[in-house]
Amino acid sequence: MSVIAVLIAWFISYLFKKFQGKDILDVCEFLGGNTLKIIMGIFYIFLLILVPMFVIKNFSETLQLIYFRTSPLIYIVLFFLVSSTITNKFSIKVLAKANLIIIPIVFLSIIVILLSSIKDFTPQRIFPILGYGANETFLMGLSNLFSYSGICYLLFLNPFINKTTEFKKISIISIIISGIYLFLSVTCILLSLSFTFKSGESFSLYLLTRNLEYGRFIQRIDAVFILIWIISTISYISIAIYFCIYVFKKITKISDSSSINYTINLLILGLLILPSNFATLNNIIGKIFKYSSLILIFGISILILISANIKLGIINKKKGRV
Amino acid sequence: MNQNNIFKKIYNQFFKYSPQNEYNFFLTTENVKDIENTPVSPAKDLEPTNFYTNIQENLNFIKTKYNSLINSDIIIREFVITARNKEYNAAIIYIDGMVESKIINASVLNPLMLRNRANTYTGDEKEIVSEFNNNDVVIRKIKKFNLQNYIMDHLIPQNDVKHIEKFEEAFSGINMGNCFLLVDTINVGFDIDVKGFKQRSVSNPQNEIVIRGPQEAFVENIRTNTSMIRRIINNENLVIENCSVGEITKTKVAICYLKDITNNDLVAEVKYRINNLDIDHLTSSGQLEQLIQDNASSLFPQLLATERPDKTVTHILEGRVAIIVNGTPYVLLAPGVLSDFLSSPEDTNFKFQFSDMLRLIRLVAIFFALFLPGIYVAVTAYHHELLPTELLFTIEAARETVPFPTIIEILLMEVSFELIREAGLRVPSPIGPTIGIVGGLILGEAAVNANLVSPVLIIIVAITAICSFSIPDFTFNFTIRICRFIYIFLGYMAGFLGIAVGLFIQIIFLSNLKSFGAPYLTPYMLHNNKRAATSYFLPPIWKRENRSNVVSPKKKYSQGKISMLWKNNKVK
Repeated sequence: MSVIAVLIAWFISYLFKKFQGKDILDVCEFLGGNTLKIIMGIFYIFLLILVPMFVIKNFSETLQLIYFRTSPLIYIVLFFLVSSTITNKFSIKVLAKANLIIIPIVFLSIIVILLSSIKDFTPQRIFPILGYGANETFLMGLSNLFSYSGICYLLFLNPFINKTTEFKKISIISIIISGIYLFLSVTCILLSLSFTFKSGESFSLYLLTRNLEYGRFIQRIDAVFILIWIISTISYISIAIYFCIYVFKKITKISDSSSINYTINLLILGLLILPSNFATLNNIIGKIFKYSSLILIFGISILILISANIKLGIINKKKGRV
Repeated sequence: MNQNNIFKKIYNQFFKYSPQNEYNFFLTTENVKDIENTPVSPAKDLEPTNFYTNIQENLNFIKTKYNSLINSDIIIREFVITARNKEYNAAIIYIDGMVESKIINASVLNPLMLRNRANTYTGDEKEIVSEFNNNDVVIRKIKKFNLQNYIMDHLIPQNDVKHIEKFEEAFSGINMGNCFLLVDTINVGFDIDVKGFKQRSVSNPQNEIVIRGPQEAFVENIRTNTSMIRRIINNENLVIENCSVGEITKTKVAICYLKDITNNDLVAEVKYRINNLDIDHLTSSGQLEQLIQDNASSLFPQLLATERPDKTVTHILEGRVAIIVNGTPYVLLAPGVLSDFLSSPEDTNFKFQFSDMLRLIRLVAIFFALFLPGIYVAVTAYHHELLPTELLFTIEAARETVPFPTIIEILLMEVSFELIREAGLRVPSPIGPTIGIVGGLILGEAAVNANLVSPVLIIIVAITAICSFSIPDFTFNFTIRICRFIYIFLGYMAGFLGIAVGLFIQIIFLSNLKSFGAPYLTPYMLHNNKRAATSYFLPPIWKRENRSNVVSPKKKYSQGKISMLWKNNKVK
């Protein structure tokens, strides 16, 4: 899946090669005028609102289950939304700088988990390698590309980067880093936990960290990892909301984003209250959101980019003839 | 008996003195003008700017401006000078206590008033400027007599004398301790440097103590401070530019930088900010720091303040700008980034292994000073599982008799500690340690015995206090102290979730912060600052060939690729 994601990232950066300094919305405008730009913009806004909403809901419910049993969910949710509201008052450069500090810590945490859980690894758990069979793993499993839905942000990243070569480098390196993180996480979970734990889905990595112990003194350090993951989650949410505001600003041509920042965060808060429970939410994610976002990011967006490249080629050809 | 009392009362009313106990005094607000502070007051437009040729008119104006009738220390000494055997009325104006009387007598009044070879020069002998011979005919270029030049060249044997044409410049000189000479018939004056006020001599640093470094600190006098810097740098490229800040105080501010190293934009920006301040007074570098920093609302200091000339010089050599304010023994260094506030001037005096170990310890200390109380609150309230069972039992047993929740308990101790620290600083130095003993030992012990706080909490607060003392920069210590309280509240509100949110927001704020164009988190990100003396963990001294790229200096390298030539048989 990581290899496919890297290839897709490379392909996207290749398609953007002729559109230096332009994002997917500019490409939409070039291809189908303002109408296509607005329609696609609305789709992207939906996607970029729903992603942080699902992440916050999922993470908050898990936190509530572990630490805040007596606190209402909205109390936990507010911590995430307040921090994302504050963060989105700043530019993308600030977010990028902050991530330069956070990502090494997150990466270090997974390496610590890997090294600490090696003693619990059972190599036999890797079998059967093809899982439920080649068909299930390679064809049906394609939907797991949803894990890389973060590729969506690459579609908007181009205007923030000066050179096309830099964009290509950033796209591929970021997917490789995500791939390594995912690989290490899956390795830890797959080789350490039994099938029953894995089927629990919710926070398998947390369950793994609960078993880590270092001597007699440090027996439960899962809270430390939770702290790191909270920081990374806030960062992820903030970036998603940043791009949501960016798309909104671009399609409505509004210059001041401070009021939109509050509105979108409040909208997410409202949407978070809608699903009655965790199961409903999982149902929505698994059946509707997962496939629709896959179609939007990996289907329609790439299709638009290909069409725009063809159109540009035709225009250039005509100009050449003239 | 009653009659006796009546008489006594009448007698007292008429003859006995009774002091008035009530004394009413109010400040009237009638004279308060609600007008915007403007750099030039409207009345100034009507005032003369240049000197008159008539000395009396000049003196009248100066007397009015200085309120010389009621001002006791403004001295105006009128006398007659002799030049070319002619007599002219003259006067010197100075402020008593700011000048050296001996210099005035010897270098100003004596040569001007007493008859000597210079002032009895008749003028028959013309002053020859140049002379050359053309076919046995001597052609001489003779200078016409000019009283102003004559006084300057012949009558004032003093090293620092300036021609002044404007009243404002004269007032500025007098206010700074110079003596001002006015002579009748000429519309210029002479600003003569005769400063001689009492000042503190150079002494040991009080707040930035080092073991192996130099043991001298800046003083209040700006010229002493600049001389200390110049003495160490010892290079003609060192530029010390002067400007004045404050409409009333006209405080002298010196901007020091190395012409061939410091980035021109940085120098220009520093000068731009300092020269564009609309304030009445500036009395310390602390005030100037607040006025010129990038983000005034940020908790983090954005300029380094130091009392050490060696530290100042190190940073100037790296390409930074030093700002010296007259009257303050603390010099500002721009820009200041995070790593600067965590470094001690001692670090470069030690071997890199020792320095790096100290810096690592300092990082750990800052972590504890910032987070330990917050983590304690979070762990005791939400994350008990982090602690080993035995320790948890110990803590819980100790807390059993304490009636308050952890947050009250820790706030009680933290606030008490801050009070003890503040009291220790403000009380006279002989009883300072007593405050520490009373506060630290007796109060802490008594609080535990009275079951107000648990013993574990005393340990937590004590560790936090010790760690906060290891932060080298005094202003950065304040930041840590305030942030600590924020983390305590966040830890209480939502345990590690609160702390994580606080930490993330802090990282965001720090990432956004800039000091004179330098990212505050440099050299940790987006800047490759390896092999430089300003990188947080120091490389060996022979590998510190790069200057800090925080300030984009004109010269990248501060030493050769191979600095120890003797070791490589490449002796010059």
